[in-house]
Parts: sequence; C-alpha cells; structure tokens
Amino acid sequence: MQQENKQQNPLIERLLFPLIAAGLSVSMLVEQFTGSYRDESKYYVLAIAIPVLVLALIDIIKNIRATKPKSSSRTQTQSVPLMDRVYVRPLIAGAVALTGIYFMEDLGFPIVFSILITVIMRLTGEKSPYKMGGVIVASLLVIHFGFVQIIGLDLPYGLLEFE
Amino acid sequence: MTDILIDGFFLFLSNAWIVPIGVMIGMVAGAVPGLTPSNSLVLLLPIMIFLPPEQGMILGTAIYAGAEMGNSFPAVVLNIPGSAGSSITAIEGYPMTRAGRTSRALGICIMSSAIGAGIGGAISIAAAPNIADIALKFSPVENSIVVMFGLVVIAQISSGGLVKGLLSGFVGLLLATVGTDPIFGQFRSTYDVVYLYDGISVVAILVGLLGFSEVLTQLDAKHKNSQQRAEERKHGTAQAKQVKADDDLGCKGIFYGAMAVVKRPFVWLRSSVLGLIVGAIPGAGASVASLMAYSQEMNFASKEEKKKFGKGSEVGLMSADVANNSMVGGSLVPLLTLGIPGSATMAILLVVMEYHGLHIGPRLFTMNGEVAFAVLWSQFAAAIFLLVVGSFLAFAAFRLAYVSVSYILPIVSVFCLIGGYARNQYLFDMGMVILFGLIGYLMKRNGYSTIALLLGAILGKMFENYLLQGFRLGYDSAWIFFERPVAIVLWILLALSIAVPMWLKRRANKKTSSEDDSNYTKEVTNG
Repeated sequence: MQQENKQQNPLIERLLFPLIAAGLSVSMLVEQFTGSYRDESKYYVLAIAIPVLVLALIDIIKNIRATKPKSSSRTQTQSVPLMDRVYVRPLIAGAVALTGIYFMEDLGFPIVFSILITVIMRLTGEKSPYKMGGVIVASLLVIHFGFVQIIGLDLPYGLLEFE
Repeated sequence: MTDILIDGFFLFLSNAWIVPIGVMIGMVAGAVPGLTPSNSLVLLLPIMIFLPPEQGMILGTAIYAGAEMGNSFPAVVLNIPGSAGSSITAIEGYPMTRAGRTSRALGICIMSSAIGAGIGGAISIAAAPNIADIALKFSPVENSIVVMFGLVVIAQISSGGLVKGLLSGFVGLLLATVGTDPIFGQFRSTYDVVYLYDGISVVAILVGLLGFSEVLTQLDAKHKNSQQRAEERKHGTAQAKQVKADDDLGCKGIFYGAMAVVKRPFVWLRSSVLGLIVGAIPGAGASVASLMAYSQEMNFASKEEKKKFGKGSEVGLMSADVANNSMVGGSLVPLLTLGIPGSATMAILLVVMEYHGLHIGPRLFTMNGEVAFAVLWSQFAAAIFLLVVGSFLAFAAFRLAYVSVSYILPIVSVFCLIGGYARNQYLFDMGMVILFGLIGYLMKRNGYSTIALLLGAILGKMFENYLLQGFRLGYDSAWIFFERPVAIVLWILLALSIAVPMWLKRRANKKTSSEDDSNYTKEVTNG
C-alpha cells in the first residue's frame, strides 16, 4: 500500500474518501436539523459531524498540496488493457454482487451465488468450467447444509423454492 | 472473584473440545496467504454467532492463536509469510531451511508459539480482573475519555498518518449515530429507511471493511495464469522434496528445536512480556509485536549472536514467534476489561459479545465473569494444542501457501455476504456489506485506516452513552470532564499519545535529513 502511495494515486481518487466523509456529515446534519427531532438528540451528531468536516477539509488541502506535477503516466495508463486497470475488476465484482442481491428474493441464493462465484473466478483468470463447477457445488452444499439446515439462516431459494 | 475464576474454569472445561478445532482451523487459515486471522473469523462469524457465547468466544480465540502459528509454516519452508506478522519468521526461518535445518526451525516456531500463548494466558488471567476492578471505579466521564483514547491511539498508529486515522475514526462515530438515539429514543439519520431504524448493522460494516474489501483488493492485484500457478506448485513440491532430503532429522529435529527454546528462558520471557504489552495497545498488532521483540533481542544478543541475525538466528526466530502469540493474550485484556478491541480480530469477538448481550466493559467480570474467565483459561489449552497439532501439521500445512486465490476469493466473498446477513437476516445488510467493502477498498488504496472506522462504528454508541451520562453528572456542564483527577490523568495520557509520536517522527525526519546533508557534503568533498 505504501508503494502505491509513493507512486501517488490520481488526485481525484485521493480526494474521494474525504469528499464522501464531508458529504455524509453534511447530509446527516441536514437530515437532523430539518427533521422534527428533539433538540438534545441532534447536538451530538453536530459535535461529531463538525470534526469530520474539519478533518476532511485538512485532508483535502494536504492531498492537493502533495500533488506532484504530471509525468508521462497518462500515456502509460492508456496502454494498459481495460481489465488490468485499477478499479475495473473490483467494480465489476461489486456491481454483479449488488445486482445479484437486488434480485435474490426472486432468483434465490443458489443462482445468485453461482453467478457471483463464476464472475469472480473469471476475474481472477480461471477458465476451467470444471473447477468453477466444483467451487460452486462445494459452496452451495456448505451453505445449504451448514448455514440453512443446521444454523437456520432464512436464505431465499427464489426460483428453486418448492412447496 | 475467586469463585468466578473457578466457575470460569469449569465452564471452560465443559467447552474445551472446541479449542483443538479452533486451533486447527486457525493453523490452516494462517498458512494460506491472504487469509488473515480476522478474515478467517469473518468467514466463521455466522457459526460464532450461532454457538453459545462462551463457545463462540473460545473458538475465536483459538482460531486467532492457531493462525498466528500457522502463518509461520510457509514462512519457514517457502519464504512466503502467511501474514505481515510472520515476516520476521521468514527472515530467520528460511535461511535455516536453506541450511537443511527446516525441522529444527519448525520446532522452534511450534514451541515458541506454545510458550507465548501460555505466558500470554497466565499474565492476562492475572491482570484482567485487576484492571477490571480499577476500571469499575471509573465514572462515565473517565469511560468516555478511555474510548476516545483507544480511537486516538489507533488513529496515531494507522499507516496513513494522524489526520487520515482521525478522519476514519470520526466517520465511524458518525455512522454509529444512525438509528435510534440511545438516550431519547428518537430516530436519527434514518432517511425514512425502515432497515436503518436500528442503526447500520455493525456486522455488515465489519464484514464489509475486513472481508469483502480484501476480496476487492486481491481482485485488483495482478494474477498469475493457470500455467504460472502450475509451475509455481511444481517448484513448491520440488522444494518440499528437497527440504525432506536435506533435512535428515525429521521429528527429532522438531524436538531438538523445541528444546532449544526451552533452554533460553530469558529470551521467551522478555519477548512474551513485550508481545503482551504490544497486544494490549490498540491497533499495534502482530507485526509490531514480532518486530519489537526481534529488535529487543538484537540489542540483548552477544557479538557472536548478533552476526547470525538475518542469516538464520534461532534467537531471532524464537523472539518473533513468542511475541506473536503472547500478543493474543495481551489483546484480550482491553477487550474484556474496557470493552475496547485493540485489533480487527478482537472487534469480531466484541461483535459476538454484543450479539449475545454480554456486558461490554469492566462490568463483564461481575455480570458475565465466568464467560470472560473461560475465554482466558482457554488460552492454556490453546498453548497445549498448538504444540500437539502444530507438530502434526508442520510438514503439511506449508503446502497451503500454494492454494490459488481463484478458489479462495469467490468462497470468501459468498461467505462474507452470508456473514453480513446472519445477524438480522435482511438482504439490505448484504448490500451494506458490498457498500462497505467498496469503501474499505478505496480506503486501503489511499492509506486510510479501516480499523479506525470500524472501531468508531463499534464504540460509537458506547461513547455517546458515556458522554451524555457524563454531561448529566455535571449538570450539562463540560467542566466535569476536566475536574476529576483520574480524568485529568487520562487527558494528559491522551495528549501525550498524540504529541510524543509526532515529536519522535519529527526528530527522526530531522536526523535523516541531517545525515543526508552530511553524506552529500562528504561526497562533494571527496569529489
């Protein structure tokens, strides 16, 4: 990680977390002070949100001041294949997982988890369908017998639900 | 307290069967690179929640101890540390392997880990109730400062610097305000989302920040194709055969290695005490413990011994492994006495405690004392099983270092989602796991502390309770936080914990720059 920081990530990426933090604190303050809450309750949120805003501001300034002048990195990033660029594979995995959860009630966990496992294995470079099938079957068996039957987790079966 | 200590022992005895299972799971997980102790606990979170509290906690502690030892095996045999905490083990253990002394090195690791766990257990069982007794005398005023102290120390230690650490911690505190106000019972920052009325699930935050974010981080890394992996495995098998051929001592070597540790009582005493202290400091972790113990032994070593450091020093190997495991006992102390988890692994145990409604903080020893003592007693059993199970697994576990991430990542991701779901059984919580996974991934890439955010979110409710109770005690005046003598001492400690590291850092920077300057002048004068 340190090495990555030495290489210095793009400014917009470095500013993302403090901006999210500042946005979150402002939105929470607005929600608190425009809602019909009791006075005592909202001042604690204010007491926490103000340091968040101040720290986020300091961090943003520090990041901007620490930015080094641009080098030839632009041409280097352009030559990197799309799938090998940072954020691409994690974002694909995150998007597939979120979509899967959105439809899990209807599709059921066996289908959603099978898709998720396949996508993640493909993203790590695994191509063998037998290995993918093996991991899917093993995981689903552990989930069905271990978590649903023994622990009693109420995971939705969706399309595979038989009455 | 003696009655509770004995009750705790009997409670532990009736649940002792879970220790070898935990140690074995921990060792296997520890040997797999990328699976940290906290990751393996995240995967088993639904099981730990399902089990009774004492069993869940004992299982978690045993896995932690097993993982701290398991990551030494690939470090010694293949020079692949299972986690950052075993890098010293690789530095000293691998040269021993190359010199044909693998089994002796493994014996040293096994015995050192067992001794570390045993001493950690003994001191923590003696210290914890006494610290809890002192902490019981704290009013909400002092308790709120203690929580703040924990957060500041973690922010200070985090790699990205104080501002980033504090920002992460305060964002965690802010997230903890979502839900129902603990004093007035009002909804806060729920945005009319029903699932947020009880607050954001701490389990979802924990699983997302520790587990799912790690999956995303690993996905980002460049991966070897199947051909490269097959070649690597072939190389590993060849190396393992070579190790067996070179190392003609086998089980005898393990025994002699273990005996070498026994003969050096001052090394393991010093290292275990240091590991224990480091374990009790929030945020420090195994890598700091092993590194500090290693450099401590380097200072104590004779001139002859000093030359061996970095080239297969037995003393160096011992110190790192003893400190690694005594740290587990040390990290249990602030968790059980003050309710402050010092590491990600301890945060998971705190979530288990919270789920089962155990008292968090010093009252744990008076309200659920037998559970606390059962966990502390279990460390002795863990020490024995580390010795037994470790000796059996030593020559096999290192092969797990070649398990491909292609199998691990999809399984971890699916189990993370189930872990997030297990607490409330809302699909919404699975979504939160992914959201916090993405946030954690972004934070790790840019040097923000995920542990500080996590601890802020976990301790937030407790902090708010203490803070508001303190204000009530002071009739809505903040002066009460600066009037009480213990509070003043805690404030001074808090200020020192911020100022001293900053001063040391500045001094080190000045020293480095003056050294650079003098080197430059020398170069110039020499032409």
